[in-house]
Amino acid sequence: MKAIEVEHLSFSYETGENEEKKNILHDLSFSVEQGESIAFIGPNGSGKSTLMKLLVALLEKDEGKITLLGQELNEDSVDDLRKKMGIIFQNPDNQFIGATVRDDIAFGLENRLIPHEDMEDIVREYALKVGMIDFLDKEPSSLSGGQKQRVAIAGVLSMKPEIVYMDEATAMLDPKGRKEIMELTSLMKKENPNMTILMVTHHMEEALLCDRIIVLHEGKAYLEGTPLYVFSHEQELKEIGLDLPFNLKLKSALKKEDFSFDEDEDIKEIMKNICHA
Amino acid sequence: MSRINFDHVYYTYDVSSPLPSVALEDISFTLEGHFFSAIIGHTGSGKSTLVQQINALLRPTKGRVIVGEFEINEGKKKIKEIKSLRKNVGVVFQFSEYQLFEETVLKDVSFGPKNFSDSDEDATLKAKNALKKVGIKEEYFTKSPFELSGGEKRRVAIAGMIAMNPEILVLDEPTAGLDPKGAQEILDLFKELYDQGTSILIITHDMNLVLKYCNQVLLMHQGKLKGIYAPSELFYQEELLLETGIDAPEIIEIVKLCEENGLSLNRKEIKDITSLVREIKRCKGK
Ligand SMILES: Nc1ncnc2c1ncn2[C@@H]1O[C@H](COP(=O)(O)OP(=O)(O)OP(=O)(O)O)[C@@H](O)[C@H]1O
Ligand SMILES: Nc1ncnc2c1ncn2[C@@H]1O[C@H](COP(=O)(O)OP(=O)(O)OP(=O)(O)O)[C@@H](O)[C@H]1O
Ligand SMILES: [Mg+2]
Ligand SMILES: [Mg+2]
Repeated sequence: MKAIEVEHLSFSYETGENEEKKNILHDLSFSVEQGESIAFIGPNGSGKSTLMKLLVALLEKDEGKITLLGQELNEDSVDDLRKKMGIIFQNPDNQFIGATVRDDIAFGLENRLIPHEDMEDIVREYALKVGMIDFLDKEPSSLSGGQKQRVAIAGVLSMKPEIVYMDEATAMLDPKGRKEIMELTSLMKKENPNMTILMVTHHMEEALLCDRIIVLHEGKAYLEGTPLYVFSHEQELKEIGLDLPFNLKLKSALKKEDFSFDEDEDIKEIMKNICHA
Repeated sequence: MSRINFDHVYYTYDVSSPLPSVALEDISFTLEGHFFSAIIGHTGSGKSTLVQQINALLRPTKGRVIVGEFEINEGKKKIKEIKSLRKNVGVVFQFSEYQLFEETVLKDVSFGPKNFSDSDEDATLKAKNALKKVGIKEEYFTKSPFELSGGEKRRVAIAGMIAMNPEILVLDEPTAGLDPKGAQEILDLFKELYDQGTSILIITHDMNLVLKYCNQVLLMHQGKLKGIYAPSELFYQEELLLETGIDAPEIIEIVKLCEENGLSLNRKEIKDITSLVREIKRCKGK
C-alpha cells in the first residue's frame, strides 16, 4: 500500500492587501510506499515545512489531493489519520505540552490510549534510547537545544506512528547525535516494517541514508530518486544552493584535479591507491 | 581591541529550587585582540549558558565576566551600561526566532541601530544593507518576521546584529537550519567582517566550520572548560575527542589514512577539501 499519495498539490499563504500572492507549492505530485524513508531537501524557503504541515492538515491546501494510508485527507478522516501520524517540528518548543520530560513523553501515549501500567516503561525505554533518561523530572523548557530535540524525538517515536514527519529534527545535534538518531529510526523501521519516515534536512549525510530523496525547488519536485541518483547531479544541486555529502564531494574534487580512479570504489580504497600511485 | 575575560565563573540554574542544575563550573579564560574563535562541546555541556553571560542575559552565580570595559557579576548593573554593552557585543541566540519581534522584517532589523540613536534614515539604510548581505530579498522586507521559514528567520536575526556593527559578534549555532549555500555565504560574511576588524565567537556543532574558519577552539565538557586549542591540533587528539564526545570532521580521517599510506602532509595547511587535495598534489609532486 502507498503511505502517501500527493496529487497536483498547490498552496499559497494568505497575503496582506498590497502583497502579491505567491504559490509556495505548485502542482506538486509524489508518492511514498509504506515502509519507505524519504528525505526532503531544498533551499531555505522552498516549502519543506509547509509541505509537512499540509500533510498533517495544520494547513489547508488550495488545490490537489492528499491520500494517506489509503484514506483521502479531509475533514472526515483527519482525526483518525492524525492518530496514525507523528510530527516533530522544526522548533521543538512548539512541541512540548507536559510540565516534565516524563509527562511530555507520556502525553502522546495517553492520547493513544496506552494502558497506564505500561506507560512508565515505554517512557523510560524511549528516554533511554535518545539519551535523556537522567532528565525525566526536568521541565522541557529548561533543556539545552540538543536535549529539547532529543525529547521531541522520543515523544513522537514512542507512539510508533505509522507515518513519522521529522522537520529538521536533528538540526541542533552534533554529528554523533545525528548518527545516533538515524540509527534509532532505522532500528524502529526494522522493528516496524510499515513505518514510513519523511524527514526534512539540510544535512546531505542524513539524506544519503534514506531510501529516496525528493528535492524541492520553486514549489515542485526538482529532482527525485535514490540518493545515488540525486547526488550524481552535482551541477543541478549546486545551482539551487545544495551540496554533496563529504565522500562524493571529495571524489568530485579529486576528479577535477585529474586524479584517476574507479568512482564506484570506496573512498578509503581510492585514497590508498592515490597515495601509492 | 576586543576582550572577553571569564574569571572563575560559575552558573547554576534554579539555585534555590529543590532541583538546581549546575551548568558552568569555574570557567576562566581570556579572548583578546582580534579573534575568530569557536566554542564546541557535547549537548548540554554549557555552551549556550556561557554565551548568555557575555551580554548579561544571565549573570554569574559566582565569579565575573569582563567584556571590554564592562564587568558583569552577580550584582545588578544599571540598565544604561547594559545597553552600551549590548551595542558593543551582538549576540545571536540558538533559537534566534525568539529575538524577532517587530511588525516587519525591515523594522526588526532597523530596531537595533535606531535604539542606539541612529536617525531613522541611517538605521533603515544599515538594515537594508545587512539584509542584503544575509541573502534576504527586498520582497521580504515588508513581511512579518513570523511568516518566514526557519532559515529565513535565522538570516534576519543575524542581519539584526550585523546592522549594529558591534565590536564582537557572538553567534550560537548560526548555520543550523541554513541551506548549504546559505551557510557558506554567512560564513564568508563573518570572515569579511573579521577581516574588517570585528571579532567573532561562534558556538557550533559543525566541526568542518571550526577547522576551516576558526583560529582557536574552546572545548567545553560537562560544564567545565577543558582547554583552548588550535583546530588543526585538537582534531588529531583522539583520546581527548573520545572523552569529550566530539567527532572530528570527516576530512581528518582521510588525512590520517593518507599519512598511514606514506604521504607527509602538512596538517596545518589542511582546512577543507580544496586544501587537502592541494596538499596531496604537493606530496605527489603533481
Ligand atoms: N505563516 C506564513 N505566512 C506567509 N508566508 C509564509 C509563512 N510561513 C512560511 N512562509 C513563506 O513560505 C515559504 C516556504 O516556507 P517554509 O517554511 O515551508 O520553507 P522551508 O523549505 O521549510 O525553509 P527552511 O529550510 O528555511 O526551513 C517561505 O518563503 C516563507 O517565507
Ligand atoms: N533554563 C534552564 N533551567 C535549568 N537548566 C537549564 C536551563 N537551560 C539549560 N539548562 C541545563 O544546563 C545545562 C547546559 O545547557 P546549555 O543550554 O548551556 O547547553 P549547550 O552546550 O548549549 O547544549 P546544546 O549543544 O544542546 O545546545 C544542560 O544540562 C541543561 O539541561
Ligand atoms: Mg523549514
Ligand atoms: Mg546550546
